[in-house]
Amino acid sequence: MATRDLIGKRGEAIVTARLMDFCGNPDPYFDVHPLGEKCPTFDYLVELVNSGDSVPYFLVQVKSTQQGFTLKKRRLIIQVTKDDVVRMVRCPFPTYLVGVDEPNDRAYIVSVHGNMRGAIATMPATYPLTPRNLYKLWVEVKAHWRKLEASVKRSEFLYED
Amino acid sequence: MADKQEKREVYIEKRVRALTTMLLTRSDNLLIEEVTDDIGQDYIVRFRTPGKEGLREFGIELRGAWTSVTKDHADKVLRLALQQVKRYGPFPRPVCLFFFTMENDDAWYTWVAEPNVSQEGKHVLRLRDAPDCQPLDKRALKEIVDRVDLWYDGFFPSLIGNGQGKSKTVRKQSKR
Repeated sequence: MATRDLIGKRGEAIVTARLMDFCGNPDPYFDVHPLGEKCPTFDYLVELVNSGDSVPYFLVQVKSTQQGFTLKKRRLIIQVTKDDVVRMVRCPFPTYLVGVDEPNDRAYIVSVHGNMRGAIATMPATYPLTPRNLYKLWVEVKAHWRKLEASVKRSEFLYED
Repeated sequence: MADKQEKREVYIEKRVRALTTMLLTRSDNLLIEEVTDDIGQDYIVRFRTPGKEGLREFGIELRGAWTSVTKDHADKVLRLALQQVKRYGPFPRPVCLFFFTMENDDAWYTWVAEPNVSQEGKHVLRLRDAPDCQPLDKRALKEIVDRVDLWYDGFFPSLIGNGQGKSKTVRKQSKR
């Protein structure tokens, strides 16, 4: 296996293991669904577990690195293209970037939204995927979906004749 | 309730696969094949050893549970799993059973088809009757790989016959 593939495969495994950490609970906070190599921008659709009948979810791009952190601000060194950033910002669902510090088996998360427009070269290591942050993430995504109203959906393609 | 339990098992299975991949990809010399068909092995791991001939491999079957366990408890829990995996045998390669617990991310392993040398000096795979669980970490994985490597050192020569295979007399008889 090429080194790059190995880092990618390993990064995916680290993200799955961290996001699906049971954190001492009977179930994990999240269920992770890989979107496959052909899906542009996003690598995972992540569903919230035990969040009621309607299942909220968010989308994730994963970047694995062996380059470590910047010296001054200790930011994880990764590469995300400008196009991907714009696509993530425009998506109406919650979108996150997960950076994986591959040699240390650690993963960090940051939301991609608002006025972000340019390519990303580093990301903060402020939010590791720890049990505390996983819970906060679960609450944040659930709150976002609570604002969406299923009854306002309209369609031309009606089930009734 | 049954649905909830089924889902919980799926979560555990997914996470067990992720933890296994994390462990195996720590060594960059291992080629990892994730098996999706039901052959009694979830992973086949292959490797080459510098200075030695032949691709060496072993199989891994996975199990997981929520509650963390002691060695004795792990041996008890994996007794049934071991019997289930053995039904897929005999195996053409050494096979291990990996066991992960979600409560505290503990990991254990036991041999199913263990590399061994018989009293006659033949390199055989001994099917274990009962689990003998050992803690599983990077060091344990290296011990597994080293043991498989050593076993193939003796096993490969017993597979290879030079020339046309049968003895001269047998070849003459089959020509008639």
